Amino acid sequence: MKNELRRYRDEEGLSQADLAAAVNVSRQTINAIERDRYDPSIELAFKLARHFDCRIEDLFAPELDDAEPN
Amino acid sequence: MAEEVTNSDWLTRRRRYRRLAFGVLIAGALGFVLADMIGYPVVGVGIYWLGFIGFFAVRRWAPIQLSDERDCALERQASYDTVRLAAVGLVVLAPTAATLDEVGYYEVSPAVEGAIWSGVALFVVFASSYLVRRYRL
Repeated sequence: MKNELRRYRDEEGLSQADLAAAVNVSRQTINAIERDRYDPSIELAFKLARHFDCRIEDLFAPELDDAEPN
Repeated sequence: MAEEVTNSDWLTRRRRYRRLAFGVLIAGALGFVLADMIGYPVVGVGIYWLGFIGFFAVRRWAPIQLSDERDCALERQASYDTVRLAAVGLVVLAPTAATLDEVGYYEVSPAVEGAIWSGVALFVVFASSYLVRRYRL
């Protein structure tokens, strides 16, 4: 899932560690999210959106599959 | 006035409790080896168990969350990979060993037989857990 987390974090001048502590996860988790290696849970996504005072859709853009279900 | 916990304090404390938890675990394992080497194997087993109890106690009662959702996700994926590998081993190797033993080309050793039955037991546990969770028994 593509995300704008790094951009929002840079705009606030936060380090990965600062953001991690703010939302109660490890720095490695924030790093993994920013590198598109880990998709956060809904709960964490809401926490991040609340922290940056924005919508979840502003932070995360799911790559939805358009294929029809079987 | 309550002291404000900064973000770096939170990370430092998290790191400290994680090191404590794994340190207790490793100490238990080392204690087991050392006690066994000096001729106190029963004491060694007790130290080993204390190490595990201490590990889980630190994780349970630490005033700070030591594992986050990504840690849990990694553990789940590692467990899934382990079960898949065990499944391949059981499906491919177990009947092969049994058949070769039956036709006389290979004699299944007690160790191999034990490993096969351990794999069967693992999947009995897996299936039970799956059914309990699926049907909310």
